[in-house]
Amino acid sequence: MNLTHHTAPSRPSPYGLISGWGKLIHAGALLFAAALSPSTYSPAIRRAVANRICRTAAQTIPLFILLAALFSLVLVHIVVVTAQSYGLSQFALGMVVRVLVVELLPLSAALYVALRTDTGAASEDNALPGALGLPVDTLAARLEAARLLILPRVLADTLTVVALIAFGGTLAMLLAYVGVYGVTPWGVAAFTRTVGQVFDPVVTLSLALKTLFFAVAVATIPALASAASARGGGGRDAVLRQRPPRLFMVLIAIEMLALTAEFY
Amino acid sequence: MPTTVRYAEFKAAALVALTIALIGAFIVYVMSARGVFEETQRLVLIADNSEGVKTGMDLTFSGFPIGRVRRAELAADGNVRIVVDVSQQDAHWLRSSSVFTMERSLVGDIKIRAFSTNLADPPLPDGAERVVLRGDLGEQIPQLMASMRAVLENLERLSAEDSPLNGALRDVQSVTQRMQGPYGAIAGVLGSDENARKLISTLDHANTLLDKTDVRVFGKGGVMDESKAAIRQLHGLLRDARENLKKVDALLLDAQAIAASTRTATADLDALRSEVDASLRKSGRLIDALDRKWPFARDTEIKLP
Repeated sequence: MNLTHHTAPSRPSPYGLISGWGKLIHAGALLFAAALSPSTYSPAIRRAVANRICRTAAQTIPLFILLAALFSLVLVHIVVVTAQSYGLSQFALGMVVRVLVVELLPLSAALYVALRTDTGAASEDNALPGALGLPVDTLAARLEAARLLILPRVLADTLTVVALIAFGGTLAMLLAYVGVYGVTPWGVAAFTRTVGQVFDPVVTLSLALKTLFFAVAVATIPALASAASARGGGGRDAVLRQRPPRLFMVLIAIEMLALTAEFY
Repeated sequence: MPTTVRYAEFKAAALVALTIALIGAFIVYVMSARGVFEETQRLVLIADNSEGVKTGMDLTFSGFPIGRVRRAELAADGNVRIVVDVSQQDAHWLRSSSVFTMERSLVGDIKIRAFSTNLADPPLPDGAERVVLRGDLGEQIPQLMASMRAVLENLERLSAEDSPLNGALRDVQSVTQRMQGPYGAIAGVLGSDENARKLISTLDHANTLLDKTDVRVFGKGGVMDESKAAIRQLHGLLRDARENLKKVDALLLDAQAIAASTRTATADLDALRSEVDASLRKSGRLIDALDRKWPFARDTEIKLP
């Protein structure tokens, strides 16, 4: 299983574009197949994965929670005050939950992790060519090297995106409750009812799939691009420049699909 | 290679466990919020139109949600069957006499409401079917606008410069202005200060007259005193008259006795009268005979011309 040479720099021709996307998807599928195989987790890889998860979580979660809380507070206040001024306060909570928890926070979490890992990747990318550039001739050795470097990053980013969406969503719902009802237990029944109305099966499924695909895209595309650039030698800078647009295109496509599923 | 984090595997496992626990709790919470774990009874509302009815919308009683729409289906007779799950906990609010309405407001979804006027009625059985009454505010808007227009036209007519109401108000204003003058409300009623002055002078005259009349009538030696003396005299006269009447009564008694005596005498008078009649007839005949004799004879023959 060669995970690195599939992601060649994209060429301008349509065929090359489609081929590049195909290779990316293929490599991503192979990567997740490896991640889901118990045999992958040798003690060394397990330690590497755990290390990477801890570092990524420490880098992203505290600041994101803080920013999400501030953003949620501002948005909840704006929506509640605006709804009250139009006499539509009964719709404020549903709107906040729908806009914040279902739409904005997942996209924000994905973009945040993508940007953090993208800027943080620069230093790590310097280590990647070194690791992959070792005089290893056998396929097993190259595979082991790829697993050791790419798999932890992919798993850590996936988990971080899911965790950020879960933590951010929970916090946003708590802040929405406090923003609408205040610090009182008497709004729990109405709040629960509204949450039940917002999260119908279609919206819940859409949120779950969106979270999963965001996590996979954010984890896979930059990691594979880094690996490709490590192998690509001279084309590295060009690939690095292309990485965010490709990821953003995927994220926007996922968001559009989710919106289409929810509202049509 | 990056530095190793202490207890990395434990921390990573904890993060994974926390994330999974949050997601699991959220799923359970949403399921509970959607009434998955709730014991419910079924209520079928029959409507003629399912427009605006959505799965999951609330059935409210006094503003509190007590049930949610499970589905809406088209029945064989063309009506719409709205299947509502009512939680067992709140089912006692629905009675056999309960009324259900479906109202569309200007903003937001339609609202399905239940009204129970008599909570002593038997409870609504499971699977009961009830007709829901539709009230659409939007449908009433054209009618409302027509009525409003008529009202506004009337108001416009009333408030026009030459409208009767305006004229009446102007009159009232002039009256109240007159009332503010020295003669107050009297000038307002009579039309001018001149008339008010006349009325007041008339009243003064009347007062003077009344004073004089008081002296004449009720004063010493006035009409009232004379009237009292006259009444007293009249009283004496009446007493005398009563005495006289008593005397007349005695006379009448005597007259009655005389009348009785006269009745007996009347029987003899009949014979006497017949004799007088006979004498009179004889005297008549004698006079006739004398008349026929000369020089007392009259010419009784009628001569024709």
